[in-house]
Amino acid sequence: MKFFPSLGLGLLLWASAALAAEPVSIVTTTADIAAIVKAIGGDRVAVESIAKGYQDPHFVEAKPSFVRVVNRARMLFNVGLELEVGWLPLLIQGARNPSMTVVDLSSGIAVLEKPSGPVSRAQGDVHPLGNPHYWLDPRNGVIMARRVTQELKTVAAADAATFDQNLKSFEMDTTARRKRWEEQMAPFRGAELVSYHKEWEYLVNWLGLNVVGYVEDKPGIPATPRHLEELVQTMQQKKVKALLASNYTNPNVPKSVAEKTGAKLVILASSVGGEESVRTYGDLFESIVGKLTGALK
Amino acid sequence: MNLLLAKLCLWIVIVGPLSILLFPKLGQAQDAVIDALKKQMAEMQATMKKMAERIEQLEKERSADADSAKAQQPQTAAAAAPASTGKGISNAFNPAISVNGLFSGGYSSSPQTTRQLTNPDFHNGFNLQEAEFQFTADVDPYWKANFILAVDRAGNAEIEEGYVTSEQLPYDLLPRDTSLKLGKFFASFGKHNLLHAHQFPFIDRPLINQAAFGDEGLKEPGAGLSYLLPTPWFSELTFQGLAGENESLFRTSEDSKPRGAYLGHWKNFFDLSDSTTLEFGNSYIGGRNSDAGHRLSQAIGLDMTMKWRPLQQATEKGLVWQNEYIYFSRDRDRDPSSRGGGFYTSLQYQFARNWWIQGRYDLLGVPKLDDGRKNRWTTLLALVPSEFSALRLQHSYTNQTNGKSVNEVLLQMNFTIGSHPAHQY
Repeated sequence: MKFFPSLGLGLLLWASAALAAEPVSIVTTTADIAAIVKAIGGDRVAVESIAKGYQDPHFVEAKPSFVRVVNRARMLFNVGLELEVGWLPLLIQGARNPSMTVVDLSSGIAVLEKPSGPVSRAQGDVHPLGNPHYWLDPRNGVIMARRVTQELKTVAAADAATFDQNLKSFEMDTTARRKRWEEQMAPFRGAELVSYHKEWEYLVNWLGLNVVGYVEDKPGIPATPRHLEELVQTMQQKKVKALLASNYTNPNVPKSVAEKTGAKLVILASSVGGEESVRTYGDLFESIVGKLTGALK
Repeated sequence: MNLLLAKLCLWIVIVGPLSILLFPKLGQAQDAVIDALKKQMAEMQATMKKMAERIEQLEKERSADADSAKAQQPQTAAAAAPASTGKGISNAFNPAISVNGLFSGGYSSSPQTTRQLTNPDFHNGFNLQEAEFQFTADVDPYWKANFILAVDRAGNAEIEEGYVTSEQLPYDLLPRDTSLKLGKFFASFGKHNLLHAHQFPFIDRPLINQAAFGDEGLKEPGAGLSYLLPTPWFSELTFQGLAGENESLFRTSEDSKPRGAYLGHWKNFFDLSDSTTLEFGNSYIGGRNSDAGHRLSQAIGLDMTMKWRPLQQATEKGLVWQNEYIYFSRDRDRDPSSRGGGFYTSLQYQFARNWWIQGRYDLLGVPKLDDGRKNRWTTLLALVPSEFSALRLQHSYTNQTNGKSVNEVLLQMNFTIGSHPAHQY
């Protein structure tokens, strides 16, 4: 049934193309980047994200309808570090849009967990370029926003002043709120917790938390019973209070681990749009910090 | 450094046997082949020796490095990497390589019938079904190249596909929204024909694909343009000019001259919701055959696929319902013309993270073929430990008007190593 609204939207887009001051169309791989682009571009950009916020960005499907979206975009922003390697290359190739600029936002980020030795698929879904979940540190959000501003100016030079203004307020707002989040989390510095997948490394690195184990045996590979037994022991010994999982994780296994150990299962939105109330990049950390302080108390 | 070594070894492993396999086809006399092999072996030995020396030297350098700077481990590793490419050998421009292996075992109540139906090489027992080597790289800013070499269990190597694609050419020779494909490739006919053996949703081809295009599929040297229509949904038109080499549809033997063929394909795709999609396709191919009189051979195809995958459980639940109908005809002057049609409908359901259960029904003979009608029921259970491996067990029951009914059980191991391939939707 959603076909008809999208048809209507298509006609609307087509009609709006006829107007002189049409906004620049931007496509992003994730909803977090879309939120940042929106904050900087305002109404000068029309931005669409391919992955939804409640979806695992590793496992997006390269649907032909996304090919159409990429076909119409002037610029594409992606996370990089091979997060989108399973689907983005096909969308870009299928889009037949060589004039589009592709911007990899990972350049300029201090990447964590870059493997220093050899990597093998026996280690599970390892990312040979490092951990790609870097948007989960608000300091990286500011770096991303600066890069977005710089790139938007190349496709909408006339609006450069607006973008600079928006960047300034984004930076001020994010920094001010970051200090408040840091204060809220200060009592829990060094707290030990367990996470489902290796996706909260940037968050815990920023907040000074300490991940002592993972539910997954290896990244992307479900746990064996033996691994879970060891994990439960570790958690009981260390009196771990919280187990973090993303809202696209199947909660069954983490739930049983939490029940056995008395830890609280904390289901977090790992992207903008992961929960209905999380609409902006700042909302994401409000939600995460709120839940963490509640669980670690 | 280790990555580079791994790639070098892979090259030797791949290029060595491949050149051995290719030589008998290219060379004339047996002696020349043996000489060439001996020479190659000597070269390989020399290379191996050089590599061993190099490894030893590098290990020495590395342990020296490690002693001097133990505190800066990541930096040491980073510094060691350029050392191995210090002589100007860079692997940055090497193609991305992946290898697919298909190992299978099977039992048929009538191996003879199975050979006629789906797999001309079938015998009861285990065999390496096929190995596929895929190489992908950008040629320059304009072209992207793709090679797929298939080695069958008899050791015959073949360039299954080898083509370049482009979305942009100098002087804007290629209009916007258009892509160009040149080389040898699977013709854009329907859904199943575009798949390599390791991508097949079931272990064997649908009966109608087998009947219309043979056990190699419809792959042809040629050129194609495909254009994205400016519609509010995804709609793509493809035209391909092809050699017309397919032996089921166009030629009588490998020696007969191909007379050219033309193909059109129209694909439409709709999002019914975030999790459900619907695809419709129409295909046509036509060209003169090499039979007496050089009359027309043609095929038309219709396909419909519906997919469901809830976004929040993308790795755990999924459903694919695929249907395809093909009608083909091969007109002849003296012998009777052959024509016929058939369809398959298949359902694939992922019910847990690592498990799929699947069913397919094939009906060959609507309208009837020369050898009557065939019904085939197939069920399959797959254990998929990761996106790089799958273990599949399949049962099929076939009954036919002219021929024996047959039960088949097949077990297949399907695996991929090397570069991470993107997944076609």
